[in-house]
Amino acid sequence: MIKKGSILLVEDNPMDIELTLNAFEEIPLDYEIYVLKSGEEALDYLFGRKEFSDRQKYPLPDVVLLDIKLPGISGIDALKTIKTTPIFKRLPVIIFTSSQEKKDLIMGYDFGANSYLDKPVSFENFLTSIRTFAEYWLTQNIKPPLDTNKLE
Amino acid sequence: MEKYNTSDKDDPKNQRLRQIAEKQASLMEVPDPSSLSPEDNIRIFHELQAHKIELEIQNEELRNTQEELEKSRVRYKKLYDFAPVGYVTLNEKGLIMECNLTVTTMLGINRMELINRPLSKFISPEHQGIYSLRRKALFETGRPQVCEILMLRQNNPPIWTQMEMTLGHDLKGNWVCLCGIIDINDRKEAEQKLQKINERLSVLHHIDRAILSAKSPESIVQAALDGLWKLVPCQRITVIQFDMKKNEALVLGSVVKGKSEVGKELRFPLTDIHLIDEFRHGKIRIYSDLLEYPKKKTQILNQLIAEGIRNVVNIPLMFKKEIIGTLNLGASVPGWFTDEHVAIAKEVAMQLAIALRQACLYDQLKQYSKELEYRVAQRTRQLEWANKMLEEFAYSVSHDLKTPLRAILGFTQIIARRYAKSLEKEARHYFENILEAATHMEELINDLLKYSKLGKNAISLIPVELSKLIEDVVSELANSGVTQGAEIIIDPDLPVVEGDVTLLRQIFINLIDNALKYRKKDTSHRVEIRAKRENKSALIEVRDNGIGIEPKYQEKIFNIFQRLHSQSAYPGTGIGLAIVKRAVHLMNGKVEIESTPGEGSIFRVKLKIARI
Repeated sequence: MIKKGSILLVEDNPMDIELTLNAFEEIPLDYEIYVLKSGEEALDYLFGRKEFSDRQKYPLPDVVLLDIKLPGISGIDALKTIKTTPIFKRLPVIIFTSSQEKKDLIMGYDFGANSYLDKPVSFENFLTSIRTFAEYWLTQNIKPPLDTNKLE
Repeated sequence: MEKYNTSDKDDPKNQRLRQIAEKQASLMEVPDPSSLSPEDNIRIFHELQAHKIELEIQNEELRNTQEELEKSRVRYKKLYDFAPVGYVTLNEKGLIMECNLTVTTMLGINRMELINRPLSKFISPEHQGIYSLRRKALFETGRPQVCEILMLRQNNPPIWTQMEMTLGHDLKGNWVCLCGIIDINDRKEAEQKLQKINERLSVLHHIDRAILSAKSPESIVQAALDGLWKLVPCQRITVIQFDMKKNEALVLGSVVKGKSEVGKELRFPLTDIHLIDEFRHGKIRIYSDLLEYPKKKTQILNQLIAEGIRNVVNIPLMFKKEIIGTLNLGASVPGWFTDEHVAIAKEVAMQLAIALRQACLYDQLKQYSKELEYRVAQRTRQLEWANKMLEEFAYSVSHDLKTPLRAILGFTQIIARRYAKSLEKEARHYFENILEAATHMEELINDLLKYSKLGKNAISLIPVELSKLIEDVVSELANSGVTQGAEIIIDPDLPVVEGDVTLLRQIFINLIDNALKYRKKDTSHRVEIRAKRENKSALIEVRDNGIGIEPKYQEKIFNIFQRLHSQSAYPGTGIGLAIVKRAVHLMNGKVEIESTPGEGSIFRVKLKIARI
C-alpha cells in the first residue's frame, strides 16, 4: 500500500511517542510516520546522513512535528538548521510541545516555525489537537515546493 | 672819682670794658685843660655826670632785659629739653649740632656722645637708605619730610620713631635740618602684633579649611602639620592616634626638621606613653627641659633626648571628653616654646581632633555602607537565584510534570475507550478514580502555572471598562456551566479602572467562580457584582449568599493551596484566591473579605479609577 506521504515526528519521550502514534491511529491517517528521538537524528534524516542515506526508504517528509525539549541538539537548534538550509526552508515545521514559555514561543516563531501547538495533557484534547493538525497541514494546506528555486 | 665807680668795678668784664674805653679815649683829641674856663669845667663835669647817670640807667635796663632773657632762655631750654618730641638739629653733612634731652633718653645715649656725630650712626642699617634719601630731599627741595625709622638704642632693642624734618638755618645763616623725632614704638609694636595675630589667624584659618576639606585622616594630618610648622617652627611635630581597644598608638604623621611624613603606619603600645592617664583629662604637658626632668624617663623621652630634643609640649587631642591622640612638639632649645606657640598648637589640636573624629566616623560609615551594599548585593543575588530557581521549577512543572501526567491520562483514557467493555465493574471504577485524580492534578498544574506566570510578563496599566470585562468573564463561566442554577446580578454602572486586562480577568474569573461555587443547599444562589466609588479609587464587590467563611479562616484563604473544604464537597485547587491576591497587588490594589458563615461572603477589590 502506497502512503500519501510522510510525517517526521521528532520526540524523545517514549510515552508521548506512543500517545502520538495512538492518536494518529485513531484518525486514521494514510501517512507514514518516522519517529526520530533527537535533534541530531532528525537532521541526519533530513540530510540523508548515516543510516538515512537511502531516500527511497527514508523520503523527505511533508511536515515535521517537532518537540522543543530534546537531548543534545534542541528542537530550536534543529529548527534553526532546517530553516536556514535552502532546500528545507519551506518545509513546514510545527512545534509540538507542552512548553508555553514566552522565550520558547519567541524563539520558535523567530526561527521560522510554521505553527506552535500545545501538547494537551488530557487525551481528549490531545486527540483533537492531532486531528486538527492532520486535517490542516496534511489536507488543507498546499505543500510547498522543496527546492531552491526563487521567483523569477 | 671813688663815688662814681660802679659796684662792679672789680668785675673782670667791667674792667675789660674800662680798659677798652680808656684806650679809645686816649686816642681822642683832648682839649687843653688850661684853655678851659672854670665855667667850662663845671659844665663839662655836669655833662659827664649826667651822661654817667644816663649810662647807668641804660645799663640797669640792659641788665633787667638780660635777666629777663636769661629767665626765658632757661624756660625755653627746659621746654626744649623736656618736650615730648625729640629735637635734633643737623647740619648739611648730617652731623648732630644740637639735640634735646628727649632724644638722649629716647636713645639712652649721653648728649655729649651725640653732638657732632652723624645721626645715621643711630639709625638701624635697614633704614639708612630711606633716612639719607629724605635728608637729601629736604635740602634739595626745602619741603618737610616725614618717615618712619627704626633707631638704635644703647642696651635696648631698636626703637620705632617717626622723623619730621624741616629746613631752617643756624645763627650764621647756614642751612640746617630741624628734625623732630617721635617715639612710635608702642604703636608700631601694636601694629606688628596685630599683623602677627592676623597672620596667625590666617594660617589657622588655612589649616582649618585644609583640615575640613581633607577626607582621609592622612590628608587631614598633613594639612595640620604643614600649617602648624609655619606658625611654630621647631625640630619636630608629631600627631599620634590612640586606639584604646587595641591598646596601641599609631603615628599618623610627623614633621622632622621641616620634612613631613604621613601614613607610615608606625605603631607602638600605648603603655610606652608616659603618664597617659593625664592626657585622658585633656591636660597639656610641657617639659621645658627634658634633661631637667627628674622622674624616670620612658623609652620615648630618652629617644627624644638622643635626638637632641630638650623642650617638649604634648597636647591631647580631645573629642567630647574622649582622648583620641596627641599633638606633640619638640625643640632643641630649652624653653623654646612660648605661651603663644602653645596657644596656637592648642587651637590646631582642637580642629585636628574634630576633623580626625569626623574622618574616622566617615570611614566607618563608608565601611558600613560598603558592607551593607555588599550584603544587599549578596541577598539580591540569592533572591535572584531563588527566583530563577522558582521560575525553573515552574517551567519543569509545566513540562516535566505534564509529560508523565499526559501519559497517565492518555493511557488510562485509551484503556477506557478501547477496553472498557472487557473490564470488570470494579476495575472500571478504579480506572475512573485514576482519571478523576489525574484530571484534578492537571487543573492543579495549570493553576500553579497561571500563578507563577503572574507578573512575569510586563504589566501595562491602562483604562479598562469593567462592565465589558465582567460581562465577558461571566459569559465564559456560563460556557463552562458553572453559572447554572444561580442568579447573577451585574451593576450597570461599573467604573472604568486603571489596570492590566490579563490580571483583571484572572481576578474576576476566580472571584466570580468562587462566588458561584460555595453554595448553600436548598437556597437559590445569587451572585452580585457592584461598585462603590471613593475619591480616586473604586471598590468592586463580588457578593454571594453562599456558605460564608469562618472568621478564623478569613485571612488564610488568600494563601496558596489553602483549602477549607474537601475535594468531594467543593472541588478546587486552592490557588484561585492566591492568584487574586497576587494580581491585585501587582496593580497596587487591595483585596478584602467580609464574610458571615451561613450568610455569604463579600470580596472587595480596591482599584484606581482611570483618569479620562
